[in-house]
Amino acid sequence: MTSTEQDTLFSKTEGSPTPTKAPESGLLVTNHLNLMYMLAAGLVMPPAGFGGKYYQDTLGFCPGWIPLFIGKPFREAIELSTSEAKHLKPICVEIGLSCMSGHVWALAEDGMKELRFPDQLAGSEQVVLVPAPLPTSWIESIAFQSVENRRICEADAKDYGNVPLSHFKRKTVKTLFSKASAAPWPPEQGPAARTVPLQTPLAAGGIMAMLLHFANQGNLGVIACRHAFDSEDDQAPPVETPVLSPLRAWMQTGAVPMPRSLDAKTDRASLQNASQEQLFWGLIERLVNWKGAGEKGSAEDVLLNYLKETLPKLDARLQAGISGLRDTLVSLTGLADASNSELFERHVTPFARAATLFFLRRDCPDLLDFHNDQLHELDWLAAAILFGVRDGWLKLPLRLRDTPGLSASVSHRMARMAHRIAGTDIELGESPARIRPLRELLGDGSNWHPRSREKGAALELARTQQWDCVHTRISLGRGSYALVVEGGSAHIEVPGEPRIVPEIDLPRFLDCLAKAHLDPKTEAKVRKMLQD
Amino acid sequence: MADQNQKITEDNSSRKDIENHLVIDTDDVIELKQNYRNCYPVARLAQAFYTGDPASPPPELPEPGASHVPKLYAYAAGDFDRVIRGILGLADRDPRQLIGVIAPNNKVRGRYFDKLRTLDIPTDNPRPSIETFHGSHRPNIAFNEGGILVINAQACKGLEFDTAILVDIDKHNFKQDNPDAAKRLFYVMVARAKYKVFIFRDRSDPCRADAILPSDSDMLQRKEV
Repeated sequence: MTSTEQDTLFSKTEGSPTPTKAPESGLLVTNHLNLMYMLAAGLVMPPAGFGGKYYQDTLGFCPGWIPLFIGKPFREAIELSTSEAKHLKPICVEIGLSCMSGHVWALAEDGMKELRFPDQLAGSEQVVLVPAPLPTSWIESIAFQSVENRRICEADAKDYGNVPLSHFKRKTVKTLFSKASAAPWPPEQGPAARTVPLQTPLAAGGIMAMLLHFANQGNLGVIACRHAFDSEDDQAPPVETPVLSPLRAWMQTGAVPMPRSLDAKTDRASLQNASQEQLFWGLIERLVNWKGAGEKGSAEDVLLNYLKETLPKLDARLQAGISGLRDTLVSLTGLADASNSELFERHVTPFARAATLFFLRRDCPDLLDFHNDQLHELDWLAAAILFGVRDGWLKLPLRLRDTPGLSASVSHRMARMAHRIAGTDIELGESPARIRPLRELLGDGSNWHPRSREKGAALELARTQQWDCVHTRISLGRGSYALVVEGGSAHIEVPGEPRIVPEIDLPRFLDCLAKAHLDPKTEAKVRKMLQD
Repeated sequence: MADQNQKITEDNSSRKDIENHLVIDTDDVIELKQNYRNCYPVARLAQAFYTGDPASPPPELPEPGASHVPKLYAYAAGDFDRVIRGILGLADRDPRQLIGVIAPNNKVRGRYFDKLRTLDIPTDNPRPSIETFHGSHRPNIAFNEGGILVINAQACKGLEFDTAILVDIDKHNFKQDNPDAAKRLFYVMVARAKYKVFIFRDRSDPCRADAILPSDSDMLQRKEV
């Protein structure tokens, strides 16, 4: 991206003190470190979301509300945003508002008032206060005060593994800062502070990404991924599998499903399934609450304490199994002498295996690098959800976010979920289309004609990944073939032209696809082939 | 880059010494105050052995989060094979990790090295690479490929492991009248670990290190093999 020097970010409104129609964007005034944290989180969010790493800026005015300057930012707001530390650089973030509607507060010369955006705007508003959060996918550009500031921020961003600054349009706009409005900041009054639910949406973001990365495991993975991204889609086939069946409902509100009614007559298999489901989603809830409370201790401790507290409440028939699982997990914090295979032989349910993986692997990339043939598709999917919640979208490294369209898709859904849980009337418009797993895009092989893009993409994948699943059929014309020896070499002459068709061994291909974790570049190339 | 806890002169250098030595202005110094290598439980244990002077405070602890509170295992002589099985099991469950087995002397180093190379246990992966330093023998070790390195405490400074296992700490020959020397050695040994620390002692022998080990079980859990 080339450096752009220009006088204004808002060419449409330059020279006009008041907009004549609803603004298509607003300016968030912040500093570069807060910006980086929000880019990592995928959400423009209140100070409470920064986990103790917040530096004072305009988001602190009315916590839970995002002040967006329409037209010129206020000089005092810029000064405030860099006042806490010498090394902070001022930033103006242009956020698109064309898809947003709902109740906001607005500051005009006659004071602060509540109104419905955009239809009740008078055109004289200087600042609009929007209920947080907003998706970072709505960021249209990031403006720096100087070329030097921009260089420093870009260099700083590269030091983090989860800050996608380079994905956004950046500009140097000196006059935006030098010709800022002299109006006072902060205003004397504003709306009441709001508590914004952030941990559940961030956990949901982690789940979406991880289920996408594990969706190539099989058809169950494809459906689970669809439920994660499009929880309101009634057309998606249901999942009746224990552990996964409440996923769709959880992705809407973060609420844990009601326990199924069980009694002494319930058969052991039904009991096992229902209990696994309750244990699993109860753990998800516990982890989300723990993160919301500031992450004291460790996620592994949360799991151990959860099992300890839950054990006496379980049906007596299941207590021994869960007690044994807890013993195993405790042993994994020390020098247990069991191999991974022995551990998975000991614990066979998806919940137990996901919990075991939780202790064997530190984070999401670590889980993606793990292999064990004893694990089934449901084990992987349960682990993907658990790890997605532990890390959340915030902690995912860029290589797990770089699937084309994933960040925008997740960011918008996280923001929508937050507003749904908070019960605001803010509408963020349609979410970007969900990211379909490669297994879904490639299909089941029934449409793999010689020239179909699905087959072409599958062949490309098999070739670049050097998967042993391609064979070639060479069809020769009818007639007699002649072996010709000339000098020191030989060749065969055949009538007509041979037809050479590369074929894919589908089961083997799908097996390779299930085990592979493709680098973003390869995946992007194959996705492009499937779209073209 | 300079470390005020390392020795440039006979004593630890102060920040001012370093500024003078490197001829840089005070304003140009960026002081790194936080512990960037060790995760929280490891850093907290290491801090218990810190002996630096008040002018040179220990690095600030990283954010809490990781689990695996360091553990001190007491084992009976007959349980030595179980100790080795535990170390090999740890390596097998994550073959990518580099494990440092830090011994108090050559005799203990040799004992662990030999047993780690010969004891058979059921594993999912091939036996990890197991190497040692002794005398002038310095094998070429691919530190980024995982494995087990068995070394003497004196040779561990400057190295970094995913897991550090301090074995047979009862065999360290500390002078009673210089507890700071023992603490400094433990600081260095513990701080080699990024994520996990395990400590072993022979149950039957008296252990002079007991006097400097923290008693807080949140910092160091005591277990029996």
